[in-house]
Amino acid sequence: MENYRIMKQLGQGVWSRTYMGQQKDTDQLVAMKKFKANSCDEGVDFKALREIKLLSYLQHEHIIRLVDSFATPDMAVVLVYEYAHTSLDQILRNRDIPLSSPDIKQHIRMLLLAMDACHEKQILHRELNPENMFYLEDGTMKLRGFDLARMHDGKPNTLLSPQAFALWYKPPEVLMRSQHYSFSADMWSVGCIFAELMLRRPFLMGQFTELSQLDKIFKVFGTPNESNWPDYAILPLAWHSTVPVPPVAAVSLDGIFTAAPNDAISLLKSILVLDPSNRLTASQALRHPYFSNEPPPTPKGNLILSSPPPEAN
Amino acid sequence: MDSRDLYLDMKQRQSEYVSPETYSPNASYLSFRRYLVDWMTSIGESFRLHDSTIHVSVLFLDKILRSRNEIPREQWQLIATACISLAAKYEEAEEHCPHIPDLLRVSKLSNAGHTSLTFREGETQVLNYLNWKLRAVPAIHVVGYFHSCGVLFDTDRWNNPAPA
Repeated sequence: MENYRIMKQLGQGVWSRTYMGQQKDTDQLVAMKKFKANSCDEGVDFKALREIKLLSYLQHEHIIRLVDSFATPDMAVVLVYEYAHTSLDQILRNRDIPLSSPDIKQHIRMLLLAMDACHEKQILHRELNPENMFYLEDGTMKLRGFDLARMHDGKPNTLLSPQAFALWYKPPEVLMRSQHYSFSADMWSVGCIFAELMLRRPFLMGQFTELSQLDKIFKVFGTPNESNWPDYAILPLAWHSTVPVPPVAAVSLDGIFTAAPNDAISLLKSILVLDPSNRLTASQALRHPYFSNEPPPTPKGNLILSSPPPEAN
Repeated sequence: MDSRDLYLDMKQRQSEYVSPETYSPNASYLSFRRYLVDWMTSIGESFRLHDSTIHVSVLFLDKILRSRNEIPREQWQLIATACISLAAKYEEAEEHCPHIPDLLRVSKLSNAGHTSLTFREGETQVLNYLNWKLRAVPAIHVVGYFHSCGVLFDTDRWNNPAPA
């Protein structure tokens, strides 16, 4: 701790607080995450060690870099990351920042590259949302928020908790209480973020409850049936449900994303698919013609990350 | 990444973590190492930890005691137990990690006056000795690779999605 100056608190999670700090010797800005004291009968924080494990295994241009870790005198673990200036959430909410089609292409491309790196190393992120996409000053997107991430060997007997994922980015199989979801679950969240970039508002905004979120999804993609999702009937929620859901047909995404180019909609349609086994993987999505078609993605250095300073008179 | 890349990466890490070059024939723990390892193995067995977890904890211990002759013999047991606890947190599922009071009882550290609080200080000390670098690859990890050779074909992937 003696090597850093804490400047301000940035946020607070269930298990940790994050701060903006400065390395005393170099004046380098950093983000610091301090894990809240747990019961001392557990010793050094398990979650902190697992995050160190994942991040040291996942070194990649688009994954946040861990620069240091230490314990405070009161035995709390602090992880120190490179400092990111803004997040996609802040960019989307700032109406003074224009977002062109080539900009969108670069944002989603960087997310897919990060996702491909995670999935290739058998890591599920499970908390993709615009708040976890951070940007360095040079426009490089850095994926963060590996609190819920885990190694996944893809074995069918590995059970995963349906408690992960933020509601609006939660895939239908997880909402249906599947414990056997896989990398395709992250891809659903990627699709939701892609849609949000185009709409400039969250795409599927359920209200507080998981049922409301499922309802939103089914109203757009149709209710699951034998042909659009053959395995849905064995998911816990479908299996236990006694209330028949009146069948609804899917609506066309072209009618929702009227301003988006055809190749973008084509990619979106191949990612946001009810049946997880039919979603594109991150590496397949990166080979979609959308990325080789004109216009090319905006060079990341040219992305606008904050509103222009007010013009001097 | 296919299994061969994985193997090469493991091989490199294996020799990096506790490099043969740092072997020091004068380290004072060497004549007791056999007993320490035996003892760590039996603790691993009582908590039903994977063998690989104990192998990792022995690598941690070697890395520390090879280079730090100044650590007095009374502390070896604490350090060895902290190595086991940290290796479990790094390698095992959360629900398989030993609860510290149980670990203190089984390791008899509680008889020596240790509590959960002092043990956590021991764990932190070990993390500092290791520079917080816990990615050790013991030989037992590489054995898994050899086991799978001949069962897997070059075109097999780790997971279902075959590239289109």
